Amino acid sequence: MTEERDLDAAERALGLDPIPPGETAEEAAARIAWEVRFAPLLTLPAPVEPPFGALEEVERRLGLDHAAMGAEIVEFSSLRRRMRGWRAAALTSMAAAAALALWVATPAEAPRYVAVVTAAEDGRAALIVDIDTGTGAATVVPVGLRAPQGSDYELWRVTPDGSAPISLGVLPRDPSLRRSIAADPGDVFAISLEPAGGSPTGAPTTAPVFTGEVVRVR
Amino acid sequence: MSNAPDLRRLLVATAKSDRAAFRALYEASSAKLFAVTLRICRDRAVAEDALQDAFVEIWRKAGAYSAERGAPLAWMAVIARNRSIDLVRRRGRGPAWGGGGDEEQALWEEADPRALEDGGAELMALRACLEGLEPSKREMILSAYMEGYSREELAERAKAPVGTIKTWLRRGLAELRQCLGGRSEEQ
Repeated sequence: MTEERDLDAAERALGLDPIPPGETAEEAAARIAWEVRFAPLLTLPAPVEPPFGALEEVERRLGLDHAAMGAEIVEFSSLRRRMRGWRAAALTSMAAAAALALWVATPAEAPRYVAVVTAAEDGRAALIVDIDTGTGAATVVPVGLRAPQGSDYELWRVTPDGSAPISLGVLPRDPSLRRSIAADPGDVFAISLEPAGGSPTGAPTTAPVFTGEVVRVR
Repeated sequence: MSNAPDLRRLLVATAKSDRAAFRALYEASSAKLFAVTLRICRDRAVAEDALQDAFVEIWRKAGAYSAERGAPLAWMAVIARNRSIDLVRRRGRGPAWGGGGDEEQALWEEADPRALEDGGAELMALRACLEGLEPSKREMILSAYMEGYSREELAERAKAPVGTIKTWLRRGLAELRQCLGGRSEEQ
């Protein structure tokens, strides 16, 4: 390959010129060689934690999301029965949500939903989810939520119609993250303890540790 | 190469449609790739879209990864970069931060120490060759690569004609090629 043609390949590797549809194998090899040379530069910038939920969106786009998981759905239906026993916790959630509504109250247009996700055993708040239906933005704020070593907390949306829980992703360790979460009043957010990286099956593998009902605050 | 074998294993498993491996791959690499897309898109929402596009492509192309394509993280970073450039050339991008060249200097000063280590001799050679270039050519090449600037955008920033930018870039690349030993001729 002549120097001129190799430099053409370099310009394509840098994105200065588009890759032509008729790129030959030799041209592609030269371009890839330049890409490989430059690529380590891209790993230099310090990491930036991406928004919560990006992975779930990727999975949804790839059709890998967690609908129709057979056996696990059955398991979670028992969870749904148990959820009825958690009315007390839900009431605590509502009281907390009402208090929260006082400070989140802004000139209101679109409805705003809040869920205070609390421990089934003692009503301790673990997570606050605040959804602005106008902008679609959700703020997820974990409160002192720390999964044991080698495991992760995973957040699920459970709708009252009895369909399979929808994974909203593994809760990151960051204190506050925004993503787009769809939910309706009456839905329940549940958190289960999963192996590190999240449920391998796409359905919760344990009963929920924390739950909270979505309530409308404006 | 602290994390390289692990990412390689995860990529191989992802190529076999192992969803848990894909999730682990995402957990291990998304913050590095988001740094790549954010640098080019300069808008968190657009950068998130680019990140998603990148992981969709990584899932689909994992089987095409091989060691000749470089380290797994670098290979994924190239995908993130290309998807980011596609997006900003379609949608435009946020305002530039900093003056021309400042961010390129900061690139080395603020570099992730592990990345410097993982990049190994190849990265050291590239850095040495880049540093041998005239500063204006170096900054231009790095801006094109790291920020995804087109010749037109570079011309606007440098307040120089596009033809001049094209010449500078090409000369800079020719010098780099010579410095790096023109290895593509051996391929």
